[in-house]
Parts: sequence; C-alpha cells; structure tokens
Amino acid sequence: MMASSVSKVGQSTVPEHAEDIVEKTEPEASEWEPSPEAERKLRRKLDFTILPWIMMMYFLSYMDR
Amino acid sequence: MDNDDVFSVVHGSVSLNHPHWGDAQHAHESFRSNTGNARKIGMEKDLHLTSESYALASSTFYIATFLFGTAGGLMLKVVKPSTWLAACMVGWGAMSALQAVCHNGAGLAAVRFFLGVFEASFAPGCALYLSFWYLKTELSFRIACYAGTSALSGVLGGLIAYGLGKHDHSLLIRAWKTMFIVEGIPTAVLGVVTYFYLPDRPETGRHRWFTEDEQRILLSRRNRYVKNLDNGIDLQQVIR
Repeated sequence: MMASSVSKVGQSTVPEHAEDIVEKTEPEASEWEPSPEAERKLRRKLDFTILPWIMMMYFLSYMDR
Repeated sequence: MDNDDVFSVVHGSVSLNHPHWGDAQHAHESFRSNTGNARKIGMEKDLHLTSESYALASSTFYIATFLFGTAGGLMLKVVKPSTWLAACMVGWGAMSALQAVCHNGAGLAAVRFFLGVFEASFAPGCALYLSFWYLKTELSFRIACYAGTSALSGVLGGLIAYGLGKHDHSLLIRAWKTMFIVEGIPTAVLGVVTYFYLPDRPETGRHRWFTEDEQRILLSRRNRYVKNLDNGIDLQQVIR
C-alpha cells in the first residue's frame, strides 16, 4: 500500500543522495509530498525506533547526574 | 523547618551555616542529582565531606554544563550523530561510575566536572537529533516524551538509593559506591550499543531500518518547510 502511494510520483523527482538535495533546481522536486497514509506509517515507525532510544538515553542521563 | 525559615529561603537570605540549610539542600539535590542520595547513604561519612566540599562537588557539574552545553550540542552537526551521542553516553556513564572510587571531596568535584562536560554535550543534542527525523510540527510532542523521563529517573534513583542503603551491611562494596557503579556501568555499555544502533541523519544514506520508499519520504520531509543544507555548521548560523 505504501509502495503504491509513493510510486505514483516519478522516480526522477526523488533525490537519492544528499548532494542531489543541495543541488536540485527543478521546482517540482521540493514540492513533492508523500501520501498522508504513508507518512503516518513512517512517523509511527520513528516513534517506535528512534524516540524510545532517545527517551532511554535521556532517562539515564538524569539518572547519572 | 518553620515558617520563618521558609521565608528566609524564599528571599534568598539564608546563610550557609543555617541549621536547616542541609535539609533544604538535600531536598533540592536529591531531585536533581544522585550525589544527594549517595551523600545520605554513607558517602558524606566515608569521604569526610563538609558542606563546603559537597557544595563544590555539586557545583562543578553545573559549571561544566554551562561551559560546554552549547558547543557540545552543536557538535552533533559536525560529528556523526550516532558517534557523538554514543561517545557522550560512554563518557558520562564512565564518569558516573568513577565517582565510586573517589577518596575525597576534591576528587569528587573533579570527576563531576567531567560528568558535566559529557552530560552537557548530550542533552541539547536530543532535540537537535530528533529534528533530523521529525517535522517541526511533530517535534514538540516528542520533546515532551523524552523530557518527561527526567522526573521518572528521580523516582527510580531514589528507590535504588533506598534499597541499597537498607542493605549497606550485606553488600560487598559500600552502598553509595554500589549505587554509582550500578547506575554508571550499564549506561557506558548502552553507549557502545548506541554507536551501532542509532541511525545518523536521513541525508547520510538509507539506514537498514527504512525501506527505499520510507527513505524517500524522510528526505522529502527534510526539505518541506525549509531547505536544510547539511554541510556542517558555520558561526553565522549560530549567532544570527
């Protein structure tokens, strides 16, 4: 589902490396937005991977001070 | 503490040799630092800490925090985030554990200075690191999530100190030393894990957690509201 929602957008508008982001000039590249559904899923994924780890680190930093 | 004492504390006129000063300071310190707990379960007696040497030991931490907070947080944009956060974590875990081998107040003050260096370098980086991944509209809730854990650590830290203090005589090492060790060593170990676990930034390439599609979304989010040029940092970005 996520794949289909993303693949609606042409491959050429999608930057693959950091250098491309800096150098891109076509206006459509910066206007591209993923579907809300795909983005919601990604945000959920971040909430269960990156966020708990940062919470754990911050917790321990207060524990040790 | 009667009403007059409360009044004098509120107005900042309490003197250092006030009979209740130690209580007030402990009430404050045990919420903010584990030395407050350690002090009460034997550290004060073992290290012959006076009020002055204790005050020095607890303030060196904040001096270091003040000096290194800004620069340490910004280092996240210079060094790879996983490396920097992991290094800070190993550092503060090791310093926390090293407090267990201090022989006097001066040693404690020195160790706590370096504890402050590593902690100050880490804490501002949390918000900066999350801003690599979340939109600014999503960020405030995530910051609230991790900032709230500081209260929880005060609760657990107090419980650990209480439990260890109660069994001081059956422990191999003195309770306050054990406390610093059990709180410091696991942190240092998890710091090493962090180095291998945590992704850096969307721009540094696709991390194994994310699919190609998700990586595309992450990169598009980076440039949604503002064009982020992630080529380090210069002084103009900081002072404007």
